[in-house]
Amino acid sequence: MSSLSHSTSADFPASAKGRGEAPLLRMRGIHKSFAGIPALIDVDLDLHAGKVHALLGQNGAGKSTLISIMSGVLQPDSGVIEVDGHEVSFSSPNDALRGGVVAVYQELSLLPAMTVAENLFLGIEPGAGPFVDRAAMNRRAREVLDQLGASEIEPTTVLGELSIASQQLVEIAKALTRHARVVILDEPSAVLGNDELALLYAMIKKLTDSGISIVYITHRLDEVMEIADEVTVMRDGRKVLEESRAELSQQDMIQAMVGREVLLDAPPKWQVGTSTPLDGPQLEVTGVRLPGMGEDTLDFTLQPGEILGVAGLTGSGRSRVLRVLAGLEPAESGTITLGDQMLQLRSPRAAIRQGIVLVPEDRKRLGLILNQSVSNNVVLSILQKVSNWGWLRSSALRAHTDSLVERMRVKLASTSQEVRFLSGGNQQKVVLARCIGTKPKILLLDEPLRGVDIGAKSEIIDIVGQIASQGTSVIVVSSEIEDVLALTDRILVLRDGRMVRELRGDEATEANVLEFSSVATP
Amino acid sequence: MTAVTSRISHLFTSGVAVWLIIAALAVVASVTSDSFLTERNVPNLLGQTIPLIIITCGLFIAIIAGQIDLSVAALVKLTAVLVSGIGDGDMGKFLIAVLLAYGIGIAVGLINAMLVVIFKVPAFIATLAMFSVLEGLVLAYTVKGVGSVPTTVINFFYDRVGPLPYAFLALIVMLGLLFLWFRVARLPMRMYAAGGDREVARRSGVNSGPVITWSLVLCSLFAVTAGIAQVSRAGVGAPTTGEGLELAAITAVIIGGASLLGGRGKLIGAIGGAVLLALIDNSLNMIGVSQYSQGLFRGAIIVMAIALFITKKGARV
Repeated sequence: MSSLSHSTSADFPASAKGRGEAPLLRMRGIHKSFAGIPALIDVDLDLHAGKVHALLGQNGAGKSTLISIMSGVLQPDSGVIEVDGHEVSFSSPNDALRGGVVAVYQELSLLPAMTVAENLFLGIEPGAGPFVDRAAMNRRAREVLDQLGASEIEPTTVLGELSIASQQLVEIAKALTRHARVVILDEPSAVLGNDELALLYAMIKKLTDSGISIVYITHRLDEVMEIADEVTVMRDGRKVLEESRAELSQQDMIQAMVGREVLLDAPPKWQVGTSTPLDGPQLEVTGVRLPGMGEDTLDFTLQPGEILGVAGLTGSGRSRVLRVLAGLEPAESGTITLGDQMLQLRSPRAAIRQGIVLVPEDRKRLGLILNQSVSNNVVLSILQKVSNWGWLRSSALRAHTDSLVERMRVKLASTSQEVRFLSGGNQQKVVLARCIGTKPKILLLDEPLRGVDIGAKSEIIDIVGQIASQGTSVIVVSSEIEDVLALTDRILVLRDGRMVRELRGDEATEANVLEFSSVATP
Repeated sequence: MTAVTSRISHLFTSGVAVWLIIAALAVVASVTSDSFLTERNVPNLLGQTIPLIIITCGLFIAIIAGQIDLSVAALVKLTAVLVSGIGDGDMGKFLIAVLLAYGIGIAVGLINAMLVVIFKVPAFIATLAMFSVLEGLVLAYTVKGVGSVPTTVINFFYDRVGPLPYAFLALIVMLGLLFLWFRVARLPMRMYAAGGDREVARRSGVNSGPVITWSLVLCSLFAVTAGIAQVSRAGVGAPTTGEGLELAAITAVIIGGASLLGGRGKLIGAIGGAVLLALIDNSLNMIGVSQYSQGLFRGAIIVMAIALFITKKGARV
């Protein structure tokens, strides 16, 4: 171990906590497929007592599947899990809990209407027979909270009255009440500020001191450098790297996460820089402070017909940018102009009137009316245009639907088919058709390729390119770096609500995006 | 949310608000009407509240556990006609009929729970179907008033200590036990958990199935008890006994500050809701509002009462 390493294990005698010791939890040859598509392929993992094991990988690499299996939420198709050298099989979270494995998820598994103590001991309440010993429950809650250094949290407080950070601490305390020996922390830093993060690290230190093994999932490599003892990197369902953290640099980890040099067959891009600029207004975002993101401001411009990508980790503000532009949340300050017009984005309706349309991430819930026909969905945003005095003009409706469905290359039996019977890719095309029908000046795409099969992906990439070539500017936000790269001309990388880098041309690579979004810049 | 609106909203969800309204309404009623605080009206009002409070307790339990039970009023009705019809004024037969009614109550609760837990039928639909079945059973048994309740039992509801009928004292004892149960028992805590978030409860090691089953069975048992109280006050059971009690009880639970989505609410508030509803009806009678237009006033008063305590974010109803 290098002398530079700041590892929690440095405080322990190496003999007791060293790598030579038998692992607390061992996974061997784990396979898992969903509907025939492999999510985990032959994954091995060793967790040691008193160590922090960082689990890294891009979205879809298999991290969540792996921890779901570890914590009994999912069962592997094949493979072995051992605790203390004994084979176990976790058929439910309860089973895993009995085996000492507890997962702390990003979305908290707590009940806001109940007290801290009730949350901590739910399911394992102290007391005899049908009775709960509340005094003992509150006392033991106090002990566990004190043990974690969270002495300011009262056991009798109703949980919902605590801050998110305190709730996260309660969640970790809950793991302790279950006598957890392996605690899985799923991106805890995504919801915590810097002060709270320090508290979390202190808490992790206390947990490892008492011999608990931590699995820490994060996208932030500086965090990994700070707290991890061991690192596993996953990619495409496989473990591609397992190493002591002291042996690794941030570059090594990025390299392992990215892996391949060439990603998608680079699709044709609509490079604004190379062709003559299109006519139309230019979007200018000046001094915009994103809501709930601190003091940093954001400035950028968007040319007509340009496709701009916004990348960053969860919590970096990447979707906030879209929410502000779509009128879902007001910016804290700053101005947004389109051409010479100052935009007032007070509501989605106002945004749409001024030519900005959002294609939402959750298309099944927010983008489509699933049990209605394709044509009803397509004309939903432009009913005035296809009706007279409140009566629909069926010829105009049909003409409009047909032309858009054709332009978007939606594959369907008939336009009267219900949308829910279409594939993910075709559903996305229907949403695009509806949005394009309003003739927007700016099209905002949130996770446009999520849940879309490979074939439809390249078609949608193509369609977005065409839309842009006709003068509509497009902003794409995606957690999949690959998708941003495939779709866009230029990429803004955000971190903690500010732009850390603008990438264009050859600079726009997966490794660069990953590096700038996950490594703290001084 | 500002501190003030948050405090007001807390008044509502903690069940305190409804008691403040009760106090205000009681003061207004006793000042404006000479017949409100009389030896005739007070015991009568207290007696009237008994069945509604009992059935509200049952629905509160179901709602806290994230369920709803629309079959309660039909169960009140079935209990009433059976107890009165089979008992027919005889104490021995009356007690047998009471046992039978509780047996039916347990069966109804178990069937509701089976539909909800095993067959995953939403409680709204399962208990609505049960409501239909029970109504059908009542009408198959009798289409008019039938039998009678033993005089001793009727007297229990009308003889009193001071202004308090014996049955009301018994109700107070029952409520005391219920409060104690909520404080010290494991099951109610788990009902709040299962009603708050089933998945969280599951991940914490609480299996919702038995919890929901208990809540629906308890709800049915409260409904049978309410049915016995209702028929004993009336003296005779009829297919109209308890009509509309389920909606009154749901209303009571909600104006008492509980969430219809489950997992949130206080028993004291739900009981207050029942008392408030009874008080509103009684006051409307006092000031001579006709039976026919009482619904209008009742609705308006309920909406105003809740509107007072709704925050900008909207009430958690």
